Formats: sequence, C-alpha cells, structure tokens
Amino acid sequence: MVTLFLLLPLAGALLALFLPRERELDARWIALLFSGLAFAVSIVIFVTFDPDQNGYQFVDQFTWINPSGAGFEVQYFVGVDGLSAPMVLLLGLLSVVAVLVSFNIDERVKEYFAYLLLLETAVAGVFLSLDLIQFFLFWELELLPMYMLISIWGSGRNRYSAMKFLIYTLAGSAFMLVGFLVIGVDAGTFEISALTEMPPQDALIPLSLVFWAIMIAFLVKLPVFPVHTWLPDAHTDAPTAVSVMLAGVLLKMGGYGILRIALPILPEQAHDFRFVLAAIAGFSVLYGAVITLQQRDLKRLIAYSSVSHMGYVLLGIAALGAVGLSGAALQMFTHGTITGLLFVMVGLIYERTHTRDITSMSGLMHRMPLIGTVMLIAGLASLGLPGLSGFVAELTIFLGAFDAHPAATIAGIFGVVLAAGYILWMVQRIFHGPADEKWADLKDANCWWEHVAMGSLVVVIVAIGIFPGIITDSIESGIAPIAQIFEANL
Amino acid sequence: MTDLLGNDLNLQYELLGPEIALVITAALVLFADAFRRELKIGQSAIPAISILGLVVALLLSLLWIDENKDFARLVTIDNFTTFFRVLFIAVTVVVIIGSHEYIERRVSHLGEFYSLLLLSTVGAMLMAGARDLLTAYLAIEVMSFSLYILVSLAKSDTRSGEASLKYVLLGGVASAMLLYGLSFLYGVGGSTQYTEIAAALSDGTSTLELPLLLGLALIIAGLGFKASAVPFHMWTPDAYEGAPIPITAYLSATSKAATFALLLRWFAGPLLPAIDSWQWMISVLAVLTMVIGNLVALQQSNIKRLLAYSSIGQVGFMLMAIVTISDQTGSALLLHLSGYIITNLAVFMGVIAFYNRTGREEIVAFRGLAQTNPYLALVITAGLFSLAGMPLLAGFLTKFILFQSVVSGGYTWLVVTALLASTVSLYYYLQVIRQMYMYQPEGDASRWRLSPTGYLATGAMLVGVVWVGVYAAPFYTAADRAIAPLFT
Amino acid sequence: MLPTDQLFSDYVPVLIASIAGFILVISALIGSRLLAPFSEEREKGTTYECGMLPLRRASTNVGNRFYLYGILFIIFDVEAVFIFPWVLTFVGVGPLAYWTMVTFVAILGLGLAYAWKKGALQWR
Repeated sequence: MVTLFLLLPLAGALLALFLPRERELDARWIALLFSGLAFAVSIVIFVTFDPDQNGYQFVDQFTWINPSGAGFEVQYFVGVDGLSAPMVLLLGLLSVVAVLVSFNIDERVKEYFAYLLLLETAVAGVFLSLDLIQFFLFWELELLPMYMLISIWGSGRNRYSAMKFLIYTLAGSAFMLVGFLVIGVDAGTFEISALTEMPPQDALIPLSLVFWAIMIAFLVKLPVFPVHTWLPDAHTDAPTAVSVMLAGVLLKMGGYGILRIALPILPEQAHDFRFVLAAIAGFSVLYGAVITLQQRDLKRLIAYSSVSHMGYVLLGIAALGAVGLSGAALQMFTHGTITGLLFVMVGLIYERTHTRDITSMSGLMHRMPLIGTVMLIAGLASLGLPGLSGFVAELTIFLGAFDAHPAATIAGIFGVVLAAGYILWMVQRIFHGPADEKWADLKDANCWWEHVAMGSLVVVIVAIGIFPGIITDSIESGIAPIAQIFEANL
Repeated sequence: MTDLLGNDLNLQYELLGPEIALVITAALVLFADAFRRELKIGQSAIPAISILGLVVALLLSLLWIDENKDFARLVTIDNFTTFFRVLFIAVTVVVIIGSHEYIERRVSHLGEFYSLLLLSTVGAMLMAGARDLLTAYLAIEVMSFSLYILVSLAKSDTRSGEASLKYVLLGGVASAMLLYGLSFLYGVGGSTQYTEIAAALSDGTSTLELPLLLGLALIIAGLGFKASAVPFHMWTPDAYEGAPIPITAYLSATSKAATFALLLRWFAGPLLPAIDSWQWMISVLAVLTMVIGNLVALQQSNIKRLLAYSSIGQVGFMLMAIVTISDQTGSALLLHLSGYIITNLAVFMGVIAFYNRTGREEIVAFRGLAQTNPYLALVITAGLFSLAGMPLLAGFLTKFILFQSVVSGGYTWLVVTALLASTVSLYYYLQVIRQMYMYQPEGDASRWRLSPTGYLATGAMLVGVVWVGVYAAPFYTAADRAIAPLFT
Repeated sequence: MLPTDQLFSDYVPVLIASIAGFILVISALIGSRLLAPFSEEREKGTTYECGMLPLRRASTNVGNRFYLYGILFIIFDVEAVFIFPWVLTFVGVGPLAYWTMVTFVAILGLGLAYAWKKGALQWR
C-alpha cells in the first residue's frame, strides 16, 4: 500500500518523460492522474489507519544491501504510524494542488511535471522510511528535482537561490550522515524502531555531538534562525507550485525528522539540550515575525512568516511532553495547508499583476473578490483565528510548552500578535484601499483548476479548525510512544 | 627448479596466461598495423584484434578464481589478482569500444596506440599480482612507460607533447623516489619478498627505525605521484588535459586502480606491521587530497581539467580506506574503486561522444546538450551525480559503504572532512549539469545521434552506474572474496 | 641473508676507504699547487696545446636519425650484457634457459623488424 504511494508518482514521472514532443501538454494530465491516484491512496491509508493499534501499519520490508561481514545491513522498510499518516495525507493533497497550479506552465512541460512527481516520490520516501539509510537516501533524492525546478522554471535570481538551497541542505545532510553512521556502526543496525528500543549509550564520538550533527540537518530544513537564510531566496525565486511544495511539505521534513529520529533515538541528549532548542525556537518566532513585518515582496513576506511559524514547531518539540509534541505535529500539518494555500494565492495574484511588490498593489478586492476572500481566510488561519486550523495547533503548543519553557512560550505568544499585525496589514494594503486604475482589467480566478486548488485547501483548513479530532487522533497515537520515552525515563 | 637461495620455484606459465595473451595480442596489433597494406586489412581490424585478445585474456584469468598460487615467487595469482585482472581488462574493452572512432580520427600511430594500451594493461595487472618489490616496480614501469607515450599521441594538439613531457619528467622523479624508498625497505626487511619483509618487520628483529621511516616516506611520495595525491598531483591536470580523451579516461581508471591495488598489497602486507609509522602520513595525504582536489576543481573551465581535479578528490576518499586498513575497509575500497571506475567511464564515454561531434571540451560548450541530445546529457548527468554521491547511483552506495567502514575503523573526523569535501564537489559537478539543462544550445540546435558503438559504451556504463547504485550485492561479494587472501 | 642490524656496520670499511680517498686526492692537489712550476702562456689556454685549432663551436646539431641508430645499437648492446651471464648458467639450468633466451632474442628480433618496417633504418 505505502509502496504504491511511493511508486505511483515515480511511474507518472517516467510516463511523462517519454511522451512524444507533439503531445507535451498531456504531461499535465498524466501528472494530475498520478498525483490524484496517489492522493486517493493516501486517503485510503489515512482512513484505514487504526490509531488504537501500536507500531507501524502497512509495512513493506525486505533486506536491500547486505554486505557480508560488514556487520550491518540496509533495508527497504516502509510503513506508517500515527505520525506519518497525516504527513502522507498532506503530501498527497498538496501534490495535487501543486500540479493544478502548474497547469499554465508552457516551457519544457514534460520535464517540469516529471520533476514535480519525482519530488513527490522523494518526499514520500522521507515520510515513510523506517530505516536511517533509506531515510537519508530519499532526503538527498529530494534535492535533485527541487534544484532543477527552482533553477529552470524559477524567476529572478533563480540559479543563485537554487544553489543556495542545495548547499545549505547538503552541508546539513553531510553531518546527518556522519551522525547516522556513528549510531549505526555502534548499534549494528540502521532500523529506526530497533534504535528507539535500545537507544545508543556510547559511541565513537560523544553522543551530544552526534545529536547536533543530526539536528543541524533538520534545523536547516525546518528552518530556524540562524540557518534560515536559504528559505526566503528559494521561495521568492521558485515557481508557485514549488513554493507550495516547499512550504507545505518540504519544511515538514525537518520537524518530522526530529520527531521520528532525533528525539526517540537520542532522548537523553534531547533532554539535556531542551533549553537550547527552546531558546532557538523562541528567538526564531520573534525574529521571523519582526523581519516579516518589514517585507515589501509578497512572497518573501510569507516565506519569513514560515520561519516564524516553524519556530512554533520547534517550541512544541522542545517541551518534550505529549501535548507539546502533538501540537508540533499538528502545527506541521496545518502550516502545510495554510501556507500552501497562501502561496497558491500569491501565485494567482502574481500571474495577474506580474508584480509581488505590496506597495504597488491596492484595492484588488474590487477586481478579484474570490481571490481576496480566500487570501483573507488563509491569512486569518495563519494568524491563528479560532475556528480555523492554525488556532488549534498553536494553542496546543502553548499549552504543552508553557510549563517547561515559560519565557520562550511568551515570546511565541507575542509572535502571534505580530502575526496578526503583518497578515492583516498585508491584506489591507493589497486588497483594500482605493481601486487602482492600472489593475482595471484584471480577472478573478476563473479556471476550474484554480477553483479546485483553492477550494480543497480551504475545506481542509476549516474542517480541522472545527473538528481537530480527524487529525489529532492519529497524531496522538503516533506521539504517545515518543512522549512515553521522556515521561518514563527523564 | 630452485632459485639461488634454494627456494622451490613454481614455473607454471599458464598462471600468467592473461598477461602472455595480451603481450602476444599487442605484438600482433603492432605488426598488423605496420603491414596493413601488405595484409590488405582495414583500419577497424586493429581494435577488433585487440578486443579479441582482451576477451581471451579475460577468459584465461577467470580460470584462476578461488585459486591461490604463485609464479616463481614473483607473482601471486589469487582472487585479488583475478579481481583486478578482470577489472583492468573490462576497462580497456570499454575504452576501446567507446572511443575507436575518436582514435581513428584524432590519434596518430593507430597500431602503436592499441598495442601500448594493451601493454599498459599488462603492467597494471602485474602491479596487482606482484609479490616481490622488484616485480612490482617493473610492473609500474611497464604501465607508466606505455602511458608516457600514449599521452603524447593526440594528433595536431601541441598540448599533448607538453603533457607527455611533464608526465615523463615527474613520473621519472616519482619512480626514482619510489625505487630509493624500496631500497631502504629492502635494507630494513632483508628481502624483496612481501612475505619476508612482513615477517622481518613484525617479529621485531629490525631495529632500524629511521631508515624505515625514510623508506616509507619515499614510497608514499612515489606512489602519491602515481595516484596523484596532493601535494604530488601537479602533473595530473596537465596530463589529463593534453592526452587524447580515451587515454585520460584510461589514466583516471586503470592507472589509479592499479596504484591502489599496489597500495593495498603493500600496506596490508609487508608494511602492515609498521602501521604506526605510516598511518598518520596517509591520513594527512588523504585530507590534503580531498580538500585541495575538490576546492581547485571549483575554478576549472575545461571538462578534462575538471575531471582531473575531481579524480584527485576521489583519490582522497580512497586513501581513507588505506588509513584504516582492514578486510572491511579493503573490500569497501575495492567496491568503491569499481563503482568509481564505472562512473568515471560513463562520464568519459559521454565526453568522448560529445567531442566526436563538436570537437570542443570547454564546459560552456555543453550548453543545451539536454535539447540537442537528451540521451547523452542523461548519461553525463548520471555519471556526474554518481561522482558527487547522489543516492540510487553507484557513487552513493559505494561511498556510503566506504565511509561506513572508515567510521567503524575509528576515523570519524576523516569521514566528516570527506563528507564536507563531497558536498563541495557537488557544486562543480552541477556547473556542468547546469550548462546542459539550463541554457539554450548555441548555434546548431538540431538533434543528433551517437554512433552504434557510442551507444553501446555509454549505455553499458549507464546501466552499470544504476545497477551498482541499486543492487550492489554481486559486486560486494566479489570485493569480499578478492580482499580475503590479503588478510589471511 | 644479512642480519638487518649489521647492515650499516658492514659499510664502515667503505666509509674509511672513501675518507682516505678524499684525503689522498686533496693532499695531491694541494701538493702539486705548492710544488709544481707554472708557466703563463697563451698556448696554455687553447683546447689542444699541440695540433689543429678547433673550428666552429663545440655544440653542433646532430642528425636526429643518429639517435634512433643510437637507441637500436644500445638495445643490442644490452642484449649482449644479458647473454654473457646466461652463458655461464646455461649448462646448469638446462633447456629452460635455452628457450628463455630464444624468446628474448625473438622479441628483440621482432622489434628490429618493426623498426625496419617503420623505416627507422633508412638514412634519408
């Protein structure tokens, strides 16, 4: 089942690549079909997933590399638990949205969709892998399509941004691989569940170094201050669909990695450094929010708001308790949908106005009421309005983190105030005010794919805001064993 | 039959079957070319004869799988030798198939080219098999002398002669240093036989610390030249740039692998007891090599020079395995070596096919290749990504197993350096890939095809790169069995 | 085989001999400088004190074919170097030694044939 989810986009990518040149535009439909099928599979996985059952479900496993005498083996080992099931669902959904908002791509169409689908496979691999090396492999595989997508179809300083993205991630993952190797050599296995049961006690180099070696990769990806600088560049210069994927699922790989690998395998070190993590988190939230307030470029604004919002994820994680961790996982899901939607909207606006400069826009609500309304919904969800999904996640994080890290939590709550500021100010500057003559002939969202892309995300945001139980049941079952480690031993 | 010291000598000539077959083929090729007019044979008969001889040699070397014999106490025929014989023969076959077009058009002295190529393969094979210092030295010289001439054979390219001269002079200095070092080793160990040196060094009869250290330093410097390790790498970029491209490919594959075969034989055998004296030297060399090789590669604008520096960087990774030498790192090194060779040949076969069409070798000349020949762009991209160590390609898996074994050998800091260096390496590989995918072709933008043999060579290497990357078990087993005789 | 420790002490006589040699040469040079009579004439400075005066410069171009002949000559000269010791052990070793030398000479012969075919023996 999960292997099917992993392979469907890849099959689509190959099929799209071998289309004859004359029928290049059909690649869009192939991409839609295959990402749609993958989404259907992810829904089936999520619905049939049983939160009351312990351990991984839908497991596929076989030994992949087994060098005799080397004392280790690498497996192909995939499966879902309560933590990855929502991530898979999010990925399935956002991939469809990303394909839909790319329907107007007209340059090198085949390759574009092939890379987009390959990206989906790679990220799916990260969320589904239960073996450290397999995890690392997909983690690296994701770079290739991202690099190509940003640098070929991006705008502005796209090549620079793509390279920056690549170098940051690669530098991080180099340390991660060292960490994995040290752990694996010590324990004789790379299987995550086995390592969780028997956390390494002693290794070739101090375990706290190993912890940071692994964390640095995840923190870069998350991203938090001071390793966040690749994010605004990558977002600004990436095509819309890639921004959606980047904000929606790629950033989640960092948080997911911490929850899946760093915390369960090295719990003592996580406990030792929880104040450092909380401090980084609190500072990131505030710093991100303050920088966001100063942005004039619409995409940069949302990119920096992501830095601030991902700080909440780290804050929830630093609390190391069931509530905080659940909040972090939930925040990852909701931020994925909300920011995904925000980037979709920015893409739609940019397509019409051909500018992202906030100061040059004014009164767009008159010209495009639908886009304006949806943008407003997304913005309100982003600033944490009760009844929309952002509120549930942030509240849970604050509840979980307050006891452990009061100062960082207060910083976080102040971040929400700032979020209200920058979001509402942005909406006001763009959509309200006098209708500018130069935007007189702009059209509202009028294609079916735009409607589907916006609608599906709005439905999810509202639904989770009202019935958080749909997602939280699964998340809590996934978080429980991790939280247990900390409650039992430390 | 006994030698002067009364040791029994085993003179089974069939043990040297592959080498003898190749030498005879080399002579045949030389004469077939010299008497081509009299014999009324076409140009394409020459590579055909060479390949026939190589195939015979391949079959002959497969006869000795799982044997462990020696020829006259000079050459060992065990799985290690067989592994490298097969590897070297395969490399030569691929080079000939992938580049015979190039050779016909751009190489002067066709017969000499093929015959020297075969002779240098013989030298490489003997380097892997030697069990005596002097045999090893002669084998090195057989390989090197052939290569000195081969480098100079590019038609109408003045860089070729310059490259050859540089290579000869520096190679000569390196050989002299190596020989001097070997004489110290002989003085300390009292014999040129590997086994007897190992015995003399390990039972503590030798108290000559300084001569041993001097000898080791000279040997490491000499072999460092041959393997192009920093700071002995200066000849590499010039020789790579000036040589005909097939020879560049051959230099980066066979000559490097043969040097590592020799390093493994020496440092796992006679020199293993002195590990405390040389471990730090090699680790310094490894760090310098991977850092400087990869950093200097960043500034290159010629594809051959870029690949030269990239191969220097790769040597740094391989030297790590020598630092932490054991059966585990040894087999990881053999695996990485074969993965690296397949990958490198994929890139070079691609570059040769490209050069055949355009006659250019600057990196900017690759602009828009993804549109004029997507297949070739794919081959080169796969090769470069594999060199950089991207997942699902040969380079990732073999590098991973290599690094893993070095970590378990206790040298985590080396691996950290190596990983950072290989992160840097991705940057310059991407520069080439960018040119192919992100720019429009300059001038002629029509599609073109490779020749059938071009497709054969590139296709086989592409399959190899993916195969090793996804399912390396057979290679790993082979490497494991090959390294076993060194550690018993 | 030599015990490795003695390796260098065995060379002490060589060291003494070379030091003695140095002393002898240096004392002979100094002695001749002190004792011998010197005459300062122009003739002393010429290349040959008696005989013809040399024409042109000492470094002149040599035909590049000359080197080819030189190499070929050296190859067969070296062959002779191998053949002389071979003669001494020939009887003891038996037919193997015979065939080994036949192979060796045959290889050199082939080389000569190749050089001939390539026109290396043509003086043009």
